[in-house]
Amino acid sequence: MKARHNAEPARPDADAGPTNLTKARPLVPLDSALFKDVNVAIQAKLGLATLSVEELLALRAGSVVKLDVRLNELIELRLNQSLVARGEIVAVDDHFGVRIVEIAEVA
Amino acid sequence: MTAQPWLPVDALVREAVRAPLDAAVRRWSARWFAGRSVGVPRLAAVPATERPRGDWRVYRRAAAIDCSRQARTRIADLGLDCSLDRLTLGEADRRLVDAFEREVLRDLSQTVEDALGVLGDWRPAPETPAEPLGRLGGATAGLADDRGAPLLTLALPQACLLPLCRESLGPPRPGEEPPGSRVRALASTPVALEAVLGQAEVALADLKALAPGDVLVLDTRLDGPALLRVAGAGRPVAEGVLTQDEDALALKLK
Repeated sequence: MKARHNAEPARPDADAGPTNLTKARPLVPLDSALFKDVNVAIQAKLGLATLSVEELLALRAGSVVKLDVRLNELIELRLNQSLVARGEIVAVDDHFGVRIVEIAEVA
Repeated sequence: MTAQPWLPVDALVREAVRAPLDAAVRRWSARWFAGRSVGVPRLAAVPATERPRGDWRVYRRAAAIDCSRQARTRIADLGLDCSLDRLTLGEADRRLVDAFEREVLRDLSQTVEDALGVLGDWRPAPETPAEPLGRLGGATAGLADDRGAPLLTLALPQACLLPLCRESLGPPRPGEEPPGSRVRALASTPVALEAVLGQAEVALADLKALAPGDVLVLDTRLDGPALLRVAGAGRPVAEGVLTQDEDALALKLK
């Protein structure tokens, strides 16, 4: 913090404290070489099913659990529990995949 | 953490507690004060948030006695049947009177505690407690003679009064129905489950470049299972293959 204050004395918001940190230019940008080898897991979440404990205890092999998503609905891609994109289920060779339809701006 | 029996403090102040206390104090006063009967005309509830005023000492286990100068003088006056204020005592006499007061007060706490059926930890006597009523509150009992002249005050912590109080309330009524199965009671509790198809590892640099149309390949094979888990919790409760149920996505459990 201190070093940056000294480097940019003319910035009007330089004294505004930590809440303005996101507005200031980051020290380490997301596309930095630093992150070249850092991987994150993006989770493909199909949907929710709300069952009572009674129903839950009655589940057996072969039981069908209906989810709250329609067949043609987009599914959610979550990064650390946060929704970051939506897409449709696709098959890629012998694996499932998700084709991104909706994604937030990088910010 | 120790669990202690508890009742609202105003429930402790009842005739079933006062009467035996009064009788015990009268026995005590008969032993020490010839011809002057001292009793407990009333009890006053003291909530846990209040500390009763007094120069408190615990002589035995739990009952605290207000040993203010005034109270001690009154004890000595009654016991020795004289007015100490008007006498000039020498060092030796003073010590004798102190020992007398102490013995009278020790006997008072023993009499009172025996009458209340108190079981407690012994304390080195007399001890000056920071909280004469402990942390749960209790009651104060003002001792007074039959003309209403006050003698001293007792502070009785909740634990001290509970045995007699409980006894007067009688045993708890047996429940009309036995407790039922916990699992059955839980039956209608809703549990949110989330279905996860799989995950893809993405380098941070690629994450920034992701755009509509891109395809992330998941780690789940087409014939492999999706996981069902309690929403927000980590461990999967079941796994199943994707299927449909009335145009909705569904999992057929394995």
